Amino acid sequence: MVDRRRGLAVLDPVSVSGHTDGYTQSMAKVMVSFADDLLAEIDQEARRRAVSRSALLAQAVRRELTRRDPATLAAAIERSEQRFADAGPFDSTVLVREARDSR
Amino acid sequence: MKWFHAQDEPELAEARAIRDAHTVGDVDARVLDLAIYEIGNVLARSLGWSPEAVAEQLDDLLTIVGRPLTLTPEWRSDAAVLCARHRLTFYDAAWAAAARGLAIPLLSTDQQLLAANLAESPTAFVRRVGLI
Repeated sequence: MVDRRRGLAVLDPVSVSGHTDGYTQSMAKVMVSFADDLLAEIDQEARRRAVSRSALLAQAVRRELTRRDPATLAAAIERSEQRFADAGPFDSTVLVREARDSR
Repeated sequence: MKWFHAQDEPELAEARAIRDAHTVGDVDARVLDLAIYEIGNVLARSLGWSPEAVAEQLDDLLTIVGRPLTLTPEWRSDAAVLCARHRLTFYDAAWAAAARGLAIPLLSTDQQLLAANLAESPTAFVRRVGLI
């Protein structure tokens, strides 16, 4: 449901605020605001994935909450590059292919 | 491994562009739990790394890509179908089935997966989304 005047989106049709019953988990109902164009993108992607708007947004939020700090990632990448620096020349795709085919 | 290893790696610039986009959150790269075994196998057996280096590298891999995906029952069924249909190993089919299940592209430089039209090359991906 979208209020075009305020760019307001309701996460799935629910009747009142609070917690819904009848789901396997207790779920809070929230109201959030999105720009119309962003909401249109969200709905388009939800349709493409054949999931509800809520499911798509929950998935996105969950991913954001578990996303690593970019500095932590950069440090892990730097350590990894250092480990591989002396590994010599090879095509990693070939090594993985050999391993898969040999099993 | 192209994210970390450079010497003689095809499509290196494209792989690094995807890595950098993942680091800043523009791309969300995920791996199957199978990656732990496949990369661990390559590091320990093909490259002969020490046990400590293998363990540390796998730790860093998971720091970078987050919790790996596990095949759902539906993905397992799809993997079995893809395995038979395209004469792939179940390992290859598992990657493709996970990507299909999530409706996201599987990025690979593997010719078997690309030939089966089950994966997109890093080069094609970075061009399509405008990373390079």
